[in-house]
Amino acid sequence: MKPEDLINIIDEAPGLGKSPGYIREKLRSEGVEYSFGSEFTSKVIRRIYGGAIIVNRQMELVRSLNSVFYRVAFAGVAAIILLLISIFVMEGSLTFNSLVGISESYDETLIGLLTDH
Amino acid sequence: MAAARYKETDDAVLINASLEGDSQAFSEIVNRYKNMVARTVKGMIGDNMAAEDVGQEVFIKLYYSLKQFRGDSKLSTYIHRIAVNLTLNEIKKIKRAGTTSHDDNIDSLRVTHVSGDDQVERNETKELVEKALQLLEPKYRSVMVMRMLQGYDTRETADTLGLPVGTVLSRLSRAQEQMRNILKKL
Repeated sequence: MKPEDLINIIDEAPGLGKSPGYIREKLRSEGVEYSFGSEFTSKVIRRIYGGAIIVNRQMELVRSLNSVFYRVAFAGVAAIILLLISIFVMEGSLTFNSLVGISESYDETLIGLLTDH
Repeated sequence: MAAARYKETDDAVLINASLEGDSQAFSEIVNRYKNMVARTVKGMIGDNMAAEDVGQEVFIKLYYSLKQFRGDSKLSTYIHRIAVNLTLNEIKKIKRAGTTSHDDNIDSLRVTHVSGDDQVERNETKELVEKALQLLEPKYRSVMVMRMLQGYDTRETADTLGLPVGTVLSRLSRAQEQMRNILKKL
């Protein structure tokens, strides 16, 4: 097709009574058609769902880290409570001295040691 | 790639299945509309690698905006709007990267006319249409692509481009005139 042939087709068509598909059909019959490569769909799908898999893995990691954190936190709190109970049972109180393991009598012994008695 | 079970399926069903994570349903949407997108994107920026990338971006953007699709317009119109917007952005990017004067473009794009082999002549016609379209201003190019390559009527063109019918008609008339002048120089 020469440029003047294309001019004729265009002049015949837009808004001049010909059906809207007129130029398209004419050009199609002349080999003017476009398409993407054969791998187009699979590339699109790979780009979308490939990315989604990475996002999902990140989400799973965050979720598993969260559950690990809760387990460690609960175990820690339980251990602290058990420790406090055992200190209370052994020392009879939960004062600072009993918490750090220094009893009243031990104080004197310590002074005795320091003053050579 | 898309399962045969989706071949005859309605767009609305495909959308819902895609939203539920069914990749085969979305593959069918891509297969159904990829040629339409190719005509618009390649018609506006030429048959090259950039057009292939823009085409992929169109469907990726569609996938992530499917939740917002309310079904007020046809899926094809929605996809087409995305395609036109992304293509116009790409044209702006290309323009920013470097422009030459209109006449320089015409010289560099002049088509050599060879007659004889049918396939050669078909390629030549495609090249001629592509080059003529690329020399149009983008706003005229989009209406011309809708009319010449998609076969859309004025109403469909207006819906797709989000323009009033009157604007489409005046742009078509201007585009026709500009294209005639371009073709005379080729």
